[in-house]
Amino acid sequence: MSIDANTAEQVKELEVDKYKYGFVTDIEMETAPKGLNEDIIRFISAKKEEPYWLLEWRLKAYRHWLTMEEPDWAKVGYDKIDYQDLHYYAAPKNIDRPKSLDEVDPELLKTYEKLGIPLKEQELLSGVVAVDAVFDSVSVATTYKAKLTEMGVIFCSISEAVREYPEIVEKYIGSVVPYSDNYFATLNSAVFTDGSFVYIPKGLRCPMELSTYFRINAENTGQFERTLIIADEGAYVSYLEGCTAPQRDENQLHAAVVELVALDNAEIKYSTVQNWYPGDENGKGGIYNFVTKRGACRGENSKISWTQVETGSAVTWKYPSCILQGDNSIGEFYSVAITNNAQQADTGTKMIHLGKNTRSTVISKGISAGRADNTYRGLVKIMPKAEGARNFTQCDSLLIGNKCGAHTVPYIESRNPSARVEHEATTSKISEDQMFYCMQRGLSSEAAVSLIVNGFCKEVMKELPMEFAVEAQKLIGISLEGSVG
Amino acid sequence: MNSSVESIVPFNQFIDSAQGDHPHGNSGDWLSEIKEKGRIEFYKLGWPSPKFESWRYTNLNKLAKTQFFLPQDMELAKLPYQDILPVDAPKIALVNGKFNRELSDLSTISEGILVNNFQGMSDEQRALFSLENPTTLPKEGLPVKALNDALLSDVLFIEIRPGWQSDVPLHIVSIGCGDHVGFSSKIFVSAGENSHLDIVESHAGEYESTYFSSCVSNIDIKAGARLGHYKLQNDTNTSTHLALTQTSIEADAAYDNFVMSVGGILSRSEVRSFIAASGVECCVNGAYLGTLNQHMDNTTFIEHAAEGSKSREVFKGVLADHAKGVFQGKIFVHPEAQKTDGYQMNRALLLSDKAEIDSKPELEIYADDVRCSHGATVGELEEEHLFYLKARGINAESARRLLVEAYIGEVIDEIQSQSIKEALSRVASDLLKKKLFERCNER
Repeated sequence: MSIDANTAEQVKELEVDKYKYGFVTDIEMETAPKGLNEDIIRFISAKKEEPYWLLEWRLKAYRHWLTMEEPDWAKVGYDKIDYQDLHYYAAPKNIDRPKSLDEVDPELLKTYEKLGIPLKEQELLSGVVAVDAVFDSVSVATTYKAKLTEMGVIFCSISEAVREYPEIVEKYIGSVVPYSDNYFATLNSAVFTDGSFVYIPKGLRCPMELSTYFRINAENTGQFERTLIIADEGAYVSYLEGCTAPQRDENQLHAAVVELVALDNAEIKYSTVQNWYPGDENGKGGIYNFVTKRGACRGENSKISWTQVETGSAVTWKYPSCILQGDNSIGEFYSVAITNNAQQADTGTKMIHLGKNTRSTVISKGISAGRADNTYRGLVKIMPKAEGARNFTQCDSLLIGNKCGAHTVPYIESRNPSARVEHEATTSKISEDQMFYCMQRGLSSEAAVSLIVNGFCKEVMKELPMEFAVEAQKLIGISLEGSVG
Repeated sequence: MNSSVESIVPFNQFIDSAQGDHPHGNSGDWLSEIKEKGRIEFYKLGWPSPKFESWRYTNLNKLAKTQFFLPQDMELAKLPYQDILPVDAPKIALVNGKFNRELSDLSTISEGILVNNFQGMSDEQRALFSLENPTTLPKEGLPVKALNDALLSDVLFIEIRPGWQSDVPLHIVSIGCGDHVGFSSKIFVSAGENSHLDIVESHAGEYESTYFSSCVSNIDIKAGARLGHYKLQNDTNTSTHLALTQTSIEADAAYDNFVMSVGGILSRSEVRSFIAASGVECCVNGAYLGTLNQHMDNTTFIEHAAEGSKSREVFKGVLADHAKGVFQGKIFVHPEAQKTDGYQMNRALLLSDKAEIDSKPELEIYADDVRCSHGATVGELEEEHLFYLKARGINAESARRLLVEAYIGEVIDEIQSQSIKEALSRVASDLLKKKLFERCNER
């Protein structure tokens, strides 16, 4: 396919406009000095007025972290991270947890407006989404709180939860991702500064979608948020997470931990649209997105469903997982990962079947363009007691251009004969026929690619909540622009 | 790694003792050099352990702690015919890794095929032998190759003349005998341009022998040649078998590989094929049947380094009792290898609730215009299939047998050579009977 002048022009324009979230908000920040040591951890803990047990837990994690080695098994390459050259605490000044949105720094509100997140409640789409916004390390605003509290839903920042509901936090934090779990989760356990906390009481179907927006703004900060979602017996919640960061030349580290707990008959639907700054076309800058996400289906008939659209970050390294403990519990993973230019993604899932008749479905669509590398890495493990367990995995890769790579690394471990595990994978490119067909009908090559890729991802996109689906569809187009030629 | 510390491991003492063994007198300098290099390399790589990605599921800890001895010159009256493949072909016998003229039968070998062991090899053949396979190595190297070199006592060199096409296969029979002996065998095959030959390997042991064998085959297939390479691993149930086959395939050549694993307490068959040019057809297939405490590992690596070649890979396993199966397959497509057509399938049947399968079918692709797919399934026999047969008056046990036989039969059908396909089918059927269905301690 040859590039016509038109396409070249478009690509040029895009280079300026490509990452529209690349702006920096000029806001007064309070930061901890650079570096990591026990004093910094004590500082963070004191800043957040945490109980003693949490400080102890953080220190335990930190001491364990010192004994660990940074893993290197993923198919990603990046410059060594200097953990002493990061700020582990950065908070917008003057926000002593505002009582109402009027007290929030107008600069901040403007930022979120630019991101397309209407924090002002009245602007919200007839109240279907409640938002918790996390700016650098701390949660700045949670909307619709009163209404949710009335129903018994707790939706607040995790620091607030630690203060207000310490017994719930203490019971569940680290119960799905223990502090010693892996290098980045352990680091997070030591230094996490904020994140969201959700508790849905027994039998309640949360009437609105809960949403968190993460924003890394300050320079040289790592973002370490921790999210904990608990759905009590028979509860249901749909949770959305979105992320953006300013355009900077240095790499920034994002090492979050997300823990989900679903008790008997409960269901959690967790959707992510990850659009961290991916770096420029030469691979300079961008976010390192090293996240540990894990859900435990503790109860019978419980269900956890992960849906992710990964278009951002210079390096993505994450495996949202499900531990299917309860009998008849269900785990789902739907993923679209798009890498372009010099982006690298090593992502997938783990489905650990422990209970009887547990079921899991994995649908992964990887799209690789430019010089990017995209790896699906997944584990399906059937333990001896998982009588009648069932897994179906499908991972398809699409390559655009001849300098990118697509890899599939599934691990299948079965210890129960009655279990059925199926895995399918294909790798292909957009065929000339498909392109010809679209272009013959008047679509430009860019539009044709966007159309074909959206079709390729349809199975996953249809799992996304409405609000996200539109955004994600556009994102796919933007992420791939300039990839055909 | 410090070799003096390593020597505490009993197996390492054995490796060290093999260095002093000069079975060929002074003419063995060339061999001694290879052995010494292998030993150093093996210690440098360290014992394969689950911390290496390609040894994730196969643990050699127990092997490292077992003491083995160098084989003494053994008198073996005859080959254990009941345990090897019944093919009508000239035979090359290797006893404990060494060429045995008495048990070999080369009277009917065709003139286009040259067979030499270490002593008869020419300088050119030695030079050919020393060439390294151009494959992309795993990060952790190839410990089996290093170990094989370190224990080398003989080499088998097979050369097929360019243009020579033979319908009669060549049978290599490798027999282990003795109590706790360890040995390695090494086979080098050079298939000349446009030649054709089927090579059959049978690995078995003398009754009640316990041994460690490491078998490395290096195969070089020149342009337009066709080579069939079929192997039956039927070692004694207490033995360990570590095999590595490295193949390099040139333009328009075809390689048809099949490995049937049934023996050994622990076995690993690693097949690495390097497709160096276009128009190649490479098949790497296999079946494994594990019972009792057997551990069976099939690891394959197919590398496409040139445009427009095809590879196909089908593995099927049946695991009963406490057996554990491992399948690791990888298709690697270089950026130059556009228009690659790759297919990979692993299926495993678990017949007992203590059996286990770990499967890792992997694709690593750097070219965009390719068609690669892979699949894997794990499960038990289909209830409906059993019901169908039972409804027609076939008893449960026969129905199971029929289904398992058909299941394995499907992959044996992949073999391109008709006579060998038939021979392997018969062996598979007998072995299923013996190992699974007609055991005295019937479940």
